[in-house]
Amino acid sequence: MITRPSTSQLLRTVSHDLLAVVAPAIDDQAVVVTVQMMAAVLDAAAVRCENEANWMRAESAAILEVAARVAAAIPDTAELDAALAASAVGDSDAVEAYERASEALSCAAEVVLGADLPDLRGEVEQLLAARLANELTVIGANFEVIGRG
Amino acid sequence: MSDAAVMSQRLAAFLSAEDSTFAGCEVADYQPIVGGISRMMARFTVKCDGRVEQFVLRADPPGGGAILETDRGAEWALIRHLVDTGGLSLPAARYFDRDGSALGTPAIIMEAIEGTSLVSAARAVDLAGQCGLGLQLADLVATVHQASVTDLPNHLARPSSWDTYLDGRIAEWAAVERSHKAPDPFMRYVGAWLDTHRPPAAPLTLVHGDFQIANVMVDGGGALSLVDWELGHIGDPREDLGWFRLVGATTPPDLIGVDEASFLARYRELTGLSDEIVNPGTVAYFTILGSAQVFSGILGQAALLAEGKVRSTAIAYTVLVQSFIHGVWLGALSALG
Repeated sequence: MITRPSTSQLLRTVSHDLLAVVAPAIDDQAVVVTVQMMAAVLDAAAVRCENEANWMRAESAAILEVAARVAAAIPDTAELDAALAASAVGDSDAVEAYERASEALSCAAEVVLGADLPDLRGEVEQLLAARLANELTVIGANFEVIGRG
Repeated sequence: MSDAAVMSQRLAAFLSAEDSTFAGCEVADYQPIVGGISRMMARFTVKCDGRVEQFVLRADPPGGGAILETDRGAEWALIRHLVDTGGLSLPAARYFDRDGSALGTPAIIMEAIEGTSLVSAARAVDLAGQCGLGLQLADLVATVHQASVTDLPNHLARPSSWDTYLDGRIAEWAAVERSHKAPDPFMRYVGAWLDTHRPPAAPLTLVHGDFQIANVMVDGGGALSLVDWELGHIGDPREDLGWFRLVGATTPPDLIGVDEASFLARYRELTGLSDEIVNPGTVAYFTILGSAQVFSGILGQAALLAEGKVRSTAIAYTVLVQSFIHGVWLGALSALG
């Protein structure tokens, strides 16, 4: 497998040329918007392929640790218990494992809001904040929707 | 829809059949409008015996693939009702190809507004100018919310009470997230928060449903008109205010946020709603709640893309918008405490 240039470098090169070479040569503004969207998606894909495996592993581990403590602290958390059990099975597919951990986070986020456990709630909110930080890294600072106006 | 020559021919034939005063007309200057993400839009000119009229075509994307599935017939009925009853500024809908047999896809033809979008107008003025536009916007949306609910077309659902309505809207949140293959913990967390932090009730009114800066036109005299009524419904008027702020974060400037206190004061004055009902906190609540329907469409299309059932750059791009909206939600919750 060819590793240099990296996948992200390839994507960014194409993205750059879409904006610098292709878009200026197009008269149809609707097509220009599509090209701009293509470049944005490629830039985001470049960030994802550089980071997402590590992010998913780190997030999953942190989620399962906190979610287990939420389940232990709050009675009658059947959905959360089931999500944790599903995550405990283990999975070689990183995306599947991440989605199972995400389901556990969803359940934990729901139940912790109704409980008087501010510290645990704070930890769940920190998990969401960390996930959001990664998502915002993908889309970049100063994100604005393309083609509006 | 994007082939100007083909569409010009189809439009000329359709208009000739619909309106005898357009018999033998010529359609020229067919130009797709950039910016809409759910409907196909195009501007064109009709010339007939020395008469020249400008129109806008608003249509379903041919072959599906719209980010939001809505009913052109329902939109047509609502626009016609609002134009006929008067009092609200919006472009008149003149013709309707209900089944798409003439134009290739269900389509509404409306009179064009000579002017510019509010996005362009707002970006061309300074902060004081934007605050002035914000007050005009308050007038516009207050007029929408004061339309008589009893007279609205029958296809619009009439909630039995505000509580019932809000129950349904909050339930939508959970349903949207659970129907999506990839869990979205932000939605689940925010959905639980919405349920436990309900605002005071407001009278149910006509709600535009996609009240945002890109759906407001400014004519040559500076008057505002509201377009894109596909999500019109009867609901909580604060949904429109909240949604405007959400979209304003992705498509600045946020003409409510530039001077929210003045905007809300003007809005309260016009609608008679109290500051307990309309304030920055309740608007923020509906910034979050009001995004469910559009977010549902985005998630649904993203799921189809993931399953290989659709291919669309616009849909791929909305995956990025999801992340941005997550940020807006958490920001709003953080501000509300």
